[in-house]
Amino acid sequence: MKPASDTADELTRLTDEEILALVETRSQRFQRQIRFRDWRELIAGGIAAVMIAPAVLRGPLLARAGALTILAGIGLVAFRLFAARRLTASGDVDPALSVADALHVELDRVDAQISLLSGVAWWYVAPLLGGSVLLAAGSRGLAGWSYTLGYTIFAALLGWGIIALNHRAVRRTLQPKRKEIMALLAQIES
Amino acid sequence: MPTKHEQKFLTLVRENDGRLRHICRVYARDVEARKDLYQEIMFQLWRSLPSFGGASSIDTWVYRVALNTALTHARRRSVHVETPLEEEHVEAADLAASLDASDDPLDLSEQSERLYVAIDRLGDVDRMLVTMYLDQRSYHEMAEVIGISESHVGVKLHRIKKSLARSLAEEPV
Repeated sequence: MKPASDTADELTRLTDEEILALVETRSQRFQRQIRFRDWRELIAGGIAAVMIAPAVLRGPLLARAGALTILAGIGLVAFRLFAARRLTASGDVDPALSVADALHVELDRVDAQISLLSGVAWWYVAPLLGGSVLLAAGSRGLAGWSYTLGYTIFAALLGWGIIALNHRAVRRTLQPKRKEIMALLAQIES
Repeated sequence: MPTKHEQKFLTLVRENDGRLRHICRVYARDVEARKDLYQEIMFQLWRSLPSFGGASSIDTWVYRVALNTALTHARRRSVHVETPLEEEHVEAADLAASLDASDDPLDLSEQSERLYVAIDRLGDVDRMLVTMYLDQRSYHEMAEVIGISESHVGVKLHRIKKSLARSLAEEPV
Protein backbone atom coordinates (compact mmCIF):
# COMPACT_ATOMS: atom_id res chain seq x y z
CA MET A 1 0.00 0.00 0.00
CA LYS A 2 1.25 3.43 -0.88
CA PRO A 3 1.64 5.99 1.91
CA ALA A 4 -1.39 8.11 2.59
CA SER A 5 0.50 11.24 1.73
CA ASP A 6 0.54 11.85 -2.01
CA THR A 7 1.35 14.66 -4.35
CA ALA A 8 -2.00 16.34 -3.78
CA ASP A 9 -1.19 16.42 -0.08
CA GLU A 10 2.23 17.85 -0.86
CA LEU A 11 0.53 20.57 -2.84
CA THR A 12 -1.56 21.59 0.12
CA ARG A 13 1.64 22.06 2.08
CA LEU A 14 2.71 24.77 -0.36
CA THR A 15 2.95 28.23 1.06
CA ASP A 16 0.36 30.84 0.15
CA GLU A 17 2.84 32.48 -2.21
CA GLU A 18 3.53 29.20 -3.98
CA ILE A 19 -0.18 28.46 -4.43
CA LEU A 20 -0.77 31.93 -5.85
CA ALA A 21 2.22 31.60 -8.17
CA LEU A 22 0.87 28.27 -9.40
CA VAL A 23 -2.59 29.57 -10.29
CA GLU A 24 -1.14 32.74 -11.79
CA THR A 25 1.12 30.69 -14.06
CA ARG A 26 -1.79 28.51 -15.19
CA SER A 27 -3.91 31.57 -15.72
CA GLN A 28 -1.28 33.28 -17.88
CA ARG A 29 -0.73 30.11 -19.92
CA PHE A 30 -4.48 29.82 -20.49
CA GLN A 31 -4.76 33.46 -21.66
CA ARG A 32 -1.74 33.05 -23.93
CA GLN A 33 -3.27 29.97 -25.57
CA ILE A 34 -6.57 31.77 -26.28
CA ARG A 35 -4.81 34.89 -27.63
CA PHE A 36 -2.35 32.90 -29.77
CA ARG A 37 -5.14 30.77 -31.26
CA ASP A 38 -7.13 33.84 -32.37
CA TRP A 39 -4.16 35.80 -33.70
CA ARG A 40 -2.65 32.85 -35.58
CA GLU A 41 -5.81 32.34 -37.65
CA LEU A 42 -6.39 36.03 -38.17
CA ILE A 43 -2.81 36.58 -39.42
CA ALA A 44 -2.90 33.52 -41.71
CA GLY A 45 -6.22 34.66 -43.23
CA GLY A 46 -4.96 38.24 -43.60
CA ILE A 47 -1.74 37.22 -45.37
CA ALA A 48 -3.62 34.94 -47.76
CA ALA A 49 -6.16 37.70 -48.55
CA VAL A 50 -3.41 40.29 -49.21
CA MET A 51 -1.59 37.89 -51.54
CA ILE A 52 -4.72 36.99 -53.50
CA ALA A 53 -6.41 40.42 -53.64
CA PRO A 54 -4.31 41.85 -56.53
CA ALA A 55 -5.28 38.91 -58.74
CA VAL A 56 -8.93 39.99 -58.53
CA LEU A 57 -8.11 43.27 -60.24
CA ARG A 58 -5.99 42.12 -63.15
CA GLY A 59 -5.45 39.20 -65.52
CA PRO A 60 -7.85 36.93 -67.43
CA LEU A 61 -11.47 36.76 -66.35
CA LEU A 62 -11.27 33.13 -65.23
CA ALA A 63 -8.25 33.86 -63.03
CA ARG A 64 -10.01 36.86 -61.51
CA ALA A 65 -13.10 34.74 -60.83
CA GLY A 66 -10.84 32.19 -59.13
CA ALA A 67 -9.17 34.85 -56.97
CA LEU A 68 -12.57 36.27 -56.05
CA THR A 69 -13.78 32.78 -55.08
CA ILE A 70 -10.72 32.32 -52.85
CA LEU A 71 -11.29 35.70 -51.19
CA ALA A 72 -14.93 34.84 -50.59
CA GLY A 73 -13.76 31.48 -49.27
CA ILE A 74 -11.38 33.14 -46.79
CA GLY A 75 -14.27 35.29 -45.61
CA LEU A 76 -16.50 32.23 -45.25
CA VAL A 77 -13.81 30.29 -43.35
CA ALA A 78 -13.27 33.26 -41.01
CA PHE A 79 -17.01 33.57 -40.45
CA ARG A 80 -17.46 29.86 -39.72
CA LEU A 81 -14.47 29.72 -37.37
CA PHE A 82 -15.46 32.83 -35.45
CA ALA A 83 -19.07 31.67 -35.21
CA ALA A 84 -17.83 28.37 -33.77
CA ARG A 85 -15.38 30.25 -31.54
CA ARG A 86 -18.22 32.26 -30.00
CA LEU A 87 -19.46 29.05 -28.42
CA THR A 88 -16.08 28.45 -26.79
CA ALA A 89 -15.02 32.07 -26.25
CA SER A 90 -13.89 31.56 -22.69
CA GLY A 91 -12.27 28.18 -23.24
CA ASP A 92 -13.67 25.62 -20.84
CA VAL A 93 -17.33 25.27 -19.95
CA ASP A 94 -18.21 27.38 -16.89
CA PRO A 95 -17.39 24.96 -14.08
CA ALA A 96 -19.76 26.67 -11.68
CA LEU A 97 -22.78 25.33 -13.58
CA SER A 98 -24.58 22.31 -12.21
CA VAL A 99 -23.08 19.07 -13.54
CA ALA A 100 -26.11 18.41 -15.76
CA ASP A 101 -26.08 21.94 -17.20
CA ALA A 102 -22.32 21.81 -17.79
CA LEU A 103 -22.71 18.53 -19.66
CA HIS A 104 -25.50 19.97 -21.82
CA VAL A 105 -23.33 22.98 -22.71
CA GLU A 106 -20.45 20.67 -23.55
CA LEU A 107 -22.72 18.49 -25.67
CA ASP A 108 -23.82 21.57 -27.65
CA ARG A 109 -20.18 22.47 -28.22
CA VAL A 110 -19.27 18.98 -29.39
CA ASP A 111 -22.28 18.94 -31.75
CA ALA A 112 -21.20 22.30 -33.17
CA GLN A 113 -17.67 20.98 -33.71
CA ILE A 114 -18.99 17.83 -35.37
CA SER A 115 -21.16 19.92 -37.67
CA LEU A 116 -18.20 22.20 -38.48
CA LEU A 117 -15.78 19.40 -39.30
CA SER A 118 -18.34 17.26 -41.11
CA GLY A 119 -19.13 20.14 -43.48
CA VAL A 120 -15.50 21.08 -44.16
CA ALA A 121 -15.94 20.12 -47.84
CA TRP A 122 -18.32 22.97 -48.63
CA TRP A 123 -17.08 25.79 -46.40
CA TYR A 124 -13.32 25.19 -46.65
CA VAL A 125 -12.23 22.82 -49.39
CA ALA A 126 -14.66 23.80 -52.16
CA PRO A 127 -14.17 27.58 -52.13
CA LEU A 128 -10.43 27.63 -51.42
CA LEU A 129 -9.26 24.76 -53.59
CA GLY A 130 -11.99 25.27 -56.23
CA GLY A 131 -10.98 28.93 -56.46
CA SER A 132 -7.32 28.03 -56.72
CA VAL A 133 -8.05 25.64 -59.60
CA LEU A 134 -9.92 28.43 -61.43
CA LEU A 135 -7.02 30.79 -60.74
CA ALA A 136 -4.49 28.28 -62.05
CA ALA A 137 -6.55 27.54 -65.15
CA GLY A 138 -7.18 31.22 -65.86
CA SER A 139 -3.54 32.23 -65.42
CA ARG A 140 -2.16 29.58 -67.77
CA GLY A 141 -4.89 29.64 -70.38
CA LEU A 142 -5.44 26.83 -72.86
CA ALA A 143 -1.70 26.56 -73.53
CA GLY A 144 -1.06 25.40 -70.01
CA TRP A 145 -3.72 22.67 -69.94
CA SER A 146 -1.29 20.02 -68.70
CA TYR A 147 -0.28 22.25 -65.77
CA THR A 148 -3.95 22.94 -65.01
CA LEU A 149 -4.76 19.25 -65.16
CA GLY A 150 -1.84 18.41 -62.85
CA TYR A 151 -2.82 21.14 -60.44
CA THR A 152 -6.46 20.04 -60.46
CA ILE A 153 -5.42 16.49 -59.57
CA PHE A 154 -3.16 17.83 -56.80
CA ALA A 155 -5.97 20.06 -55.45
CA ALA A 156 -8.44 17.17 -55.56
CA LEU A 157 -6.06 14.92 -53.63
CA LEU A 158 -5.34 17.68 -51.11
CA GLY A 159 -9.05 18.33 -50.69
CA TRP A 160 -9.73 14.65 -50.22
CA GLY A 161 -6.96 14.51 -47.61
CA ILE A 162 -8.36 17.49 -45.69
CA ILE A 163 -11.88 16.06 -45.74
CA ALA A 164 -10.63 12.61 -44.68
CA LEU A 165 -8.58 14.07 -41.79
CA ASN A 166 -11.54 16.07 -40.52
CA HIS A 167 -13.91 13.13 -40.76
CA ARG A 168 -11.35 11.02 -38.95
CA ALA A 169 -11.20 13.59 -36.14
CA VAL A 170 -15.00 13.44 -35.88
CA ARG A 171 -14.98 9.65 -35.81
CA ARG A 172 -12.04 9.17 -33.47
CA THR A 173 -12.31 12.11 -31.10
CA LEU A 174 -15.63 13.90 -31.24
CA GLN A 175 -18.05 10.99 -31.58
CA PRO A 176 -16.50 9.10 -28.62
CA LYS A 177 -16.56 12.33 -26.60
CA ARG A 178 -20.21 12.82 -27.49
CA LYS A 179 -20.95 9.24 -26.50
CA GLU A 180 -19.27 9.76 -23.12
CA ILE A 181 -21.26 12.92 -22.44
CA MET A 182 -24.49 11.19 -23.44
CA ALA A 183 -23.63 8.30 -21.12
CA LEU A 184 -23.03 10.71 -18.23
CA LEU A 185 -26.32 12.49 -18.94
CA ALA A 186 -28.06 9.13 -19.03
CA GLN A 187 -26.49 8.32 -15.65
CA ILE A 188 -27.82 11.60 -14.25
CA GLU A 189 -31.29 11.11 -15.65
CA SER A 190 -31.66 7.42 -14.81
CA MET B 1 0.74 41.07 0.84
CA PRO B 2 -2.11 39.12 -0.85
CA THR B 3 -4.95 41.11 -2.37
CA LYS B 4 -8.52 40.64 -1.14
CA HIS B 5 -9.27 38.22 -3.99
CA GLU B 6 -6.08 36.26 -3.30
CA GLN B 7 -6.86 36.08 0.42
CA LYS B 8 -10.39 34.88 -0.29
CA PHE B 9 -9.05 32.24 -2.66
CA LEU B 10 -6.41 31.01 -0.21
CA THR B 11 -8.99 30.71 2.57
CA LEU B 12 -11.24 28.77 0.21
CA VAL B 13 -8.45 26.36 -0.72
CA ARG B 14 -7.40 25.82 2.90
CA GLU B 15 -10.97 25.30 4.13
CA ASN B 16 -11.80 22.84 1.37
CA ASP B 17 -8.51 20.99 1.31
CA GLY B 18 -9.91 17.67 2.57
CA ARG B 19 -12.84 17.84 0.17
CA LEU B 20 -10.64 18.57 -2.85
CA ARG B 21 -8.13 15.89 -1.88
CA HIS B 22 -10.96 13.38 -1.59
CA ILE B 23 -12.35 14.26 -5.04
CA CYS B 24 -8.87 13.94 -6.56
CA ARG B 25 -8.49 10.50 -5.05
CA VAL B 26 -11.89 9.33 -6.28
CA TYR B 27 -11.56 10.67 -9.83
CA ALA B 28 -7.85 10.28 -10.65
CA ARG B 29 -6.10 6.94 -10.64
CA ASP B 30 -2.45 7.76 -10.15
CA VAL B 31 -0.38 10.29 -8.28
CA GLU B 32 0.50 12.26 -11.40
CA ALA B 33 -3.14 12.48 -12.47
CA ARG B 34 -4.15 13.51 -8.93
CA LYS B 35 -1.53 16.23 -8.86
CA ASP B 36 -2.69 17.51 -12.23
CA LEU B 37 -6.35 17.38 -11.22
CA TYR B 38 -5.66 19.16 -7.93
CA GLN B 39 -3.88 21.96 -9.78
CA GLU B 40 -6.64 22.15 -12.37
CA ILE B 41 -9.33 22.41 -9.68
CA MET B 42 -7.36 25.16 -7.94
CA PHE B 43 -7.04 27.02 -11.24
CA GLN B 44 -10.76 26.67 -11.99
CA LEU B 45 -11.64 27.89 -8.48
CA TRP B 46 -9.29 30.84 -8.95
CA ARG B 47 -10.76 31.64 -12.36
CA SER B 48 -14.40 31.28 -11.29
CA LEU B 49 -14.25 32.87 -7.84
CA PRO B 50 -14.86 36.46 -9.06
CA SER B 51 -18.11 35.33 -10.72
CA PHE B 52 -19.41 33.60 -7.59
CA GLY B 53 -22.51 35.63 -6.80
CA GLY B 54 -23.72 33.78 -3.74
CA ALA B 55 -26.76 32.31 -5.49
CA SER B 56 -25.83 28.98 -3.93
CA SER B 57 -23.80 28.23 -0.82
CA ILE B 58 -20.02 28.37 -1.16
CA ASP B 59 -19.84 24.60 -0.46
CA THR B 60 -22.24 23.85 -3.31
CA TRP B 61 -20.24 26.11 -5.57
CA VAL B 62 -16.93 24.44 -4.64
CA TYR B 63 -18.47 21.04 -5.29
CA ARG B 64 -19.80 22.12 -8.68
CA VAL B 65 -16.44 23.51 -9.79
CA ALA B 66 -14.45 20.57 -8.43
CA LEU B 67 -16.72 17.82 -9.77
CA ASN B 68 -17.17 19.42 -13.20
CA THR B 69 -13.40 19.83 -13.42
CA ALA B 70 -12.86 16.23 -12.30
CA LEU B 71 -15.25 14.90 -14.94
CA THR B 72 -13.65 16.93 -17.71
CA HIS B 73 -10.18 16.03 -16.50
CA ALA B 74 -11.02 12.33 -16.41
CA ARG B 75 -12.27 12.47 -19.98
CA ARG B 76 -9.23 14.41 -21.18
CA ARG B 77 -6.68 12.16 -19.58
CA SER B 78 -8.76 9.02 -20.00
CA VAL B 79 -7.61 8.09 -16.53
CA HIS B 80 -10.81 6.38 -15.65
CA VAL B 81 -10.25 3.31 -17.76
CA GLU B 82 -10.83 -0.24 -16.68
CA THR B 83 -8.09 -1.23 -14.26
CA PRO B 84 -7.14 -4.65 -12.97
CA LEU B 85 -8.91 -5.58 -9.74
CA GLU B 86 -5.64 -5.69 -7.86
CA GLU B 87 -4.81 -2.12 -8.78
CA GLU B 88 -8.37 -1.04 -8.05
CA HIS B 89 -8.06 -2.61 -4.61
CA VAL B 90 -4.84 -0.75 -3.84
CA GLU B 91 -6.34 2.56 -4.96
CA ALA B 92 -9.36 2.11 -2.75
CA ALA B 93 -7.21 1.03 0.15
CA ASP B 94 -5.13 4.14 -0.37
CA LEU B 95 -8.19 6.29 -0.32
CA ALA B 96 -9.55 4.67 2.81
CA ALA B 97 -6.19 5.00 4.57
CA SER B 98 -6.02 8.63 3.66
CA LEU B 99 -9.52 9.26 4.91
CA ASP B 100 -8.81 7.44 8.15
CA ALA B 101 -5.73 9.55 8.68
CA SER B 102 -7.48 12.84 8.12
CA ASP B 103 -9.40 14.99 10.59
CA ASP B 104 -12.06 16.13 8.19
CA PRO B 105 -15.75 15.13 8.31
CA LEU B 106 -15.04 12.45 5.73
CA ASP B 107 -13.45 10.29 8.41
CA LEU B 108 -14.50 6.65 8.24
CA SER B 109 -13.67 3.47 10.08
CA GLU B 110 -10.96 1.04 9.04
CA GLN B 111 -13.58 -1.06 7.30
CA SER B 112 -14.01 1.69 4.76
CA GLU B 113 -11.48 -0.01 2.52
CA ARG B 114 -14.01 -2.47 1.16
CA LEU B 115 -16.60 0.23 0.91
CA TYR B 116 -14.28 2.21 -1.31
CA VAL B 117 -13.56 -0.75 -3.52
CA ALA B 118 -17.30 -0.87 -4.08
CA ILE B 119 -17.55 2.89 -4.60
CA ASP B 120 -14.79 2.71 -7.15
CA ARG B 121 -16.98 0.45 -9.26
CA LEU B 122 -19.86 2.91 -9.38
CA GLY B 123 -20.48 5.22 -12.32
CA ASP B 124 -19.09 8.77 -12.32
CA VAL B 125 -22.36 10.38 -11.30
CA ASP B 126 -23.10 7.87 -8.55
CA ARG B 127 -19.61 8.44 -7.16
CA MET B 128 -20.37 12.17 -7.02
CA LEU B 129 -23.43 11.48 -4.91
CA VAL B 130 -21.55 9.11 -2.60
CA THR B 131 -18.73 11.64 -2.23
CA MET B 132 -21.18 14.31 -1.12
CA TYR B 133 -23.17 11.88 1.02
CA LEU B 134 -20.01 10.93 2.92
CA ASP B 135 -19.33 14.64 3.37
CA GLN B 136 -22.76 14.90 5.02
CA ARG B 137 -24.17 17.19 2.36
CA SER B 138 -27.97 17.61 2.32
CA TYR B 139 -30.19 16.28 -0.47
CA HIS B 140 -30.84 19.89 -1.41
CA GLU B 141 -27.12 20.59 -1.90
CA MET B 142 -26.57 17.37 -3.85
CA ALA B 143 -29.53 18.25 -6.08
CA GLU B 144 -28.08 21.72 -6.71
CA VAL B 145 -24.63 20.37 -7.56
CA ILE B 146 -25.83 17.67 -9.95
CA GLY B 147 -28.79 19.56 -11.38
CA ILE B 148 -31.58 17.13 -10.53
CA SER B 149 -34.50 17.18 -8.09
CA GLU B 150 -34.14 16.31 -4.41
CA SER B 151 -36.51 13.37 -4.82
CA HIS B 152 -34.35 12.10 -7.66
CA VAL B 153 -31.32 12.35 -5.35
CA GLY B 154 -33.23 10.28 -2.81
CA VAL B 155 -34.11 7.61 -5.36
CA LYS B 156 -30.54 7.46 -6.66
CA LEU B 157 -29.00 7.27 -3.19
CA HIS B 158 -31.40 4.49 -2.25
CA ARG B 159 -30.34 2.57 -5.35
CA ILE B 160 -26.64 3.28 -4.70
CA LYS B 161 -26.88 2.10 -1.09
CA LYS B 162 -28.52 -1.14 -2.24
CA SER B 163 -25.81 -1.63 -4.85
CA LEU B 164 -23.07 -0.97 -2.28
CA ALA B 165 -24.70 -3.33 0.20
CA ARG B 166 -24.75 -6.05 -2.47
CA SER B 167 -21.08 -5.43 -3.28
CA LEU B 168 -20.12 -5.52 0.39
CA ALA B 169 -22.03 -8.74 0.92
CA GLU B 170 -19.90 -10.41 -1.74
CA GLU B 171 -16.63 -12.09 -0.86
CA PRO B 172 -13.72 -9.62 -0.81
CA VAL B 173 -11.55 -9.70 -3.92
